Order: sequence, then structure tokens, then C-alpha cells
Amino acid sequence: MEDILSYEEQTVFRLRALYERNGYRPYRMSKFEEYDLYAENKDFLVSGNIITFTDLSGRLMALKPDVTLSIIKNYSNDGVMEKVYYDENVYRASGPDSGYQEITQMGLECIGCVDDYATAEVVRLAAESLALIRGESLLNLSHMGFLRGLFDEMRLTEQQSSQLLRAICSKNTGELRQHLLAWNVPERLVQTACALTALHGPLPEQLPALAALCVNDATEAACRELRALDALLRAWGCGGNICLDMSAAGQTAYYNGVVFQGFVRGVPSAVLSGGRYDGLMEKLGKHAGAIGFAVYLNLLERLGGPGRVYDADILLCYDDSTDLAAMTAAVQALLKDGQRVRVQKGDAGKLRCKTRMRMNKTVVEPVETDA
Amino acid sequence: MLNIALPKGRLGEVVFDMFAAAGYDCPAIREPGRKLIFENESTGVRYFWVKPSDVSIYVERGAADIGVAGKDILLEYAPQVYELADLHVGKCRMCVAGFRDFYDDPDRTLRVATKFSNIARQYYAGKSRLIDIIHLNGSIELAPILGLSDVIVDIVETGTTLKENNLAVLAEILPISARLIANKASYAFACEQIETLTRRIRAIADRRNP
Repeated sequence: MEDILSYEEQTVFRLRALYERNGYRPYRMSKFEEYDLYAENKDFLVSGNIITFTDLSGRLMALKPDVTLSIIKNYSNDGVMEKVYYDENVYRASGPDSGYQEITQMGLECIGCVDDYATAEVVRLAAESLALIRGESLLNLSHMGFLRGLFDEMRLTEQQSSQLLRAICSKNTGELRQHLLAWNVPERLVQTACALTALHGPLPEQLPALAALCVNDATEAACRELRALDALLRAWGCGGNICLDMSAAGQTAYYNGVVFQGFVRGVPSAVLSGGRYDGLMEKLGKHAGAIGFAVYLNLLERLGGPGRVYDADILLCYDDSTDLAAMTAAVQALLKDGQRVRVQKGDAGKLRCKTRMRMNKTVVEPVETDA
Repeated sequence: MLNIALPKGRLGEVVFDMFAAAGYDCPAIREPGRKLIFENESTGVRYFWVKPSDVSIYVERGAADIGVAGKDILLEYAPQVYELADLHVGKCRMCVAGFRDFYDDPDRTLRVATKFSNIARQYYAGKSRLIDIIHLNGSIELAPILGLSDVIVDIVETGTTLKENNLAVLAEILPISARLIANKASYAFACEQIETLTRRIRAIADRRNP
């Protein structure tokens, strides 16, 4: 059965099993959402381009470009922790030349009192999701609290912080230094920012280096949080594929704590991204913490090998002279043999099959073979 | 094996010499012929030449692990890649140019001809100036001469073409040079290899530009 499932579909089954085992409930939602929800939170979305339409009652609706916002919107605000996972299609423009795309996205959200355990659980599930996609995988961790603490120490404006964050996310130490010197940031902090950008390696190995770069209470608190996270991940027996890399920081203003990006060998961009987004919760009037991640299943399309080469194993053509009862028996025999059989009357067109056969009255005759 | 996308042309040759000097030589690349890919197993690199404006696409989409692209291309297309080093070669300036005596009438929309629409849009947005972008693919200098645009936003290396056409630089937007870029997933899985290469290349670049 697994043979006919695409790599993407097989991954969905494996991820659903993982999230169910860990007590996450499936979350189903409509394909449409009121446009206002996205218009008010455009900063959170990957792309500001949204497909809209007017529904029968005159309301402006959108084909959902994101799932997280809907989950938060429906959070009851009763203080009870909500743990959900989803497997949904979202619609967004992924680049100026690509137009709108339907993207299959799977992910989970943990909303409520997000403590060290909940954070570690979500990070562990992110790492385990990557391992289920493909063994050779890597989760890069960053911490927005640490970065914001550093920016505060440098007394940067919002605009300067965004510029600096962009430089950190692209590991562009040259530009980073240039900006900071132009803004008269003390050399000590310039060096800290450069060293921070260069950090990359297994979390436990890099934590001492990060601790040495703390500059104030906020950075120390972030470092403590990462240490607690590392201890819990190790207690779970995972962590080998979790790296500290501050370039994994999110560009949106809503992330506030741990943020992460996941890679699997063979896919050129991050297949998973997520983090702690208390800021977005607050903006939507919810008094709780939240952490979650999304897996971009559309990026896994080419992971499963070269893909299908034939439309069917056997193409069986027949005409008006064929004995249909004899052909039925022949097809049954082929199916029982485990072959994929396509039965077609007349011309086969551009069908590509391993073996071509013709049903000549009551006898099956080979015609030609593509293989 | 690290796949490296180099920009075709004079800049690519200068850059390849830097890679060779850093210990990533590939003698096959200098042999005449029509080969497209050049490999040196002993140094663990595979080079290929691509159109300069395509380097960042090859790197972003993982066909190349690293590459060398101009800062103009990185700013214009904003590919999701790491920008690891300034190679201090292929230096030029992104400028606003027009007739020497051009007067920018604030009552009128400024018509800007350019290949770099995003850079131009961002530059004028920063000045809150209303503009009309005219996207061209070449011979940008012709636009103000024929009255197609008021000014152009383009790369200026020596300024000779501008001067010969009675045009001049009116404002400098930013300096441009070649940058070493890396695919983010490749960096994650081959961090040590890419960091070693970056360190060596950066040392050579810094020596050329003390």
C-alpha cells in the first residue's frame, strides 16, 4: 500500500501518529476566514498577498494563508492548555514570479501556560518530526529574547533592530559591523553581535559560548531558558541534531522566545519553522503563552526518489472482437500477481507502461515493451 | 563535494583565482573546451559558470552550495541565502544618474528607468518621493536621453558611458561588490567545510583590500 503513497502522504501519516501519541488533538478548520483577521496581522504572515472574495452575505473573506491565526482566534482564553495539530492547505504567494500556490502544511500549536516542559516538548516534537521526514536532519535554534536583550543594550530603534536582525539572519557580519559602527554602538557590543552571528553547533557545546556573550538580565534569562531546554532535551535522549544558530531567528515582531528552523538533507530550504509567539497572542487579546511549528510538506515532493516512471505496469488493449469474460479472467490473474493494470479499448495514446498487451479474442498477446 | 556557482565573465575569473589561491584550485577549468562542470576531487569542489544574475537562484535553490553574486543582485532579488563575506572585487556603485543640470521638480512624479526596480523603489520610498518605475532590461542610459525617464538608477563603474552621453551621477545609493553566499541548508549540513572556505577566502579578500 505504501508504494502508491507519495513521500508527502507517507510523511503525513507518520507525523499524525507522532502528534497523536503525544496527546495533541487534530484541529479542523474551514478553508475560508474573514479577511480582517489577516489584514490586522499581516506582519505575522509569510506573504501579505491574500486571495479574497465576497461571500453571499457581503463579507470580505479570504482563502486562508495561515493556520496559526485561526487557532489563536478560537482559543477560549480560559487558561486551560490547548494542544492541537493540523494538516491543512494554505494559499499564499510564495514569490513575485510564482503567483499563488496551494501549500500543504502540517504543524502543531501548544497554547496556555507554556513553561520549560511545554517548550521542550514542542522543540523535541519538531526534532522528531524532522527525523521522521528523513533521518539526516538538523534543527537550528535561536532565541528572540536574547537578541532583543542585546538590541536593548545597544539602544537601537525598531528600524535599526530590524536591519540588524536581517544581517544576523543572513550571517552577514560585514554589514552588521558596518551598521553598528555607523550607529555608534560600543565596540564591545559590536564584537558580541559578530560572535553571536558566527555561533553554530550542537546546543550543549555552544551554550557556554552563548553564556559568555550575555550583556544584561534579558540575555541571561534567555540563556537560562536555553540551558533548561537543553537539560530537558537530553533527559528525553534527543538533542544530537539540535544546533544553536542565532540566524534561525524569525523576522516577524511576534516571536519572543525560542525560535527554530528545521532542515533535512536533500531539501534546499527550511522544511520546518516555528517558535514562541506570545506577542501575537497578546495582539489578539489572548492572555496565554503559545509555541508551535509548521512543516512545509510541499517541499518534500522530491525527497521520495525519482517518482513514477510508468503509468501502469501492464497496458491491456482490446477491441470489439474481444471476449470480455476471458479478458476479465486475464485481468484478475494479472492483478492477483501484483501488477498495476490499465485496460483500454482502442488507442493507448501517450500512456507509458512497462508492458503492452493485446487481448485477441480470448488470448492475451504481448505487443511491445517500453522497459 | 561542494558545488560552487561562479559568475561568467571577467569577475568570475578574478573570483576563481581567489578560490584557487585559497586552496580550491581546479586545473580542468582552465582547459579549453565546452565542458560545463569542473571538478577537483582532491580539494572537494565542483565549479560551474552561470549568468551572474542567476548565481543567487542556483544557491537559494540548492543546486549550488555556495556562489559569488553581486550585492546589487542580492538587494534586488532578496534571495534567502547566507551572505558570508565581502570579496572586495567587482566594485562599483548603485547610483541615480541623469542630465547634469537636471532639476527634480517636487510637484511632478519622478520617472525612473532601471533594471533594479526594488532597489529604486526602496531608495525613493525612504525619501517619500513619488516615482514611476520604468523597468528596462538594458541600455538604461538611453531612457533620459530619449525622454523616456527623468533619471535612471543603475550601476556605475567608471562613469565613462554616462560622461559620453552628457549624463552624470546625481546621487549615490550604495556601494556594490561581489559577495560569497551560501545555501542555508547546505550550510547546516556542511558548516565546517563552508566556514573553512569562507575564512580562507575572506583572508585573501582582506589582503587585497587592507
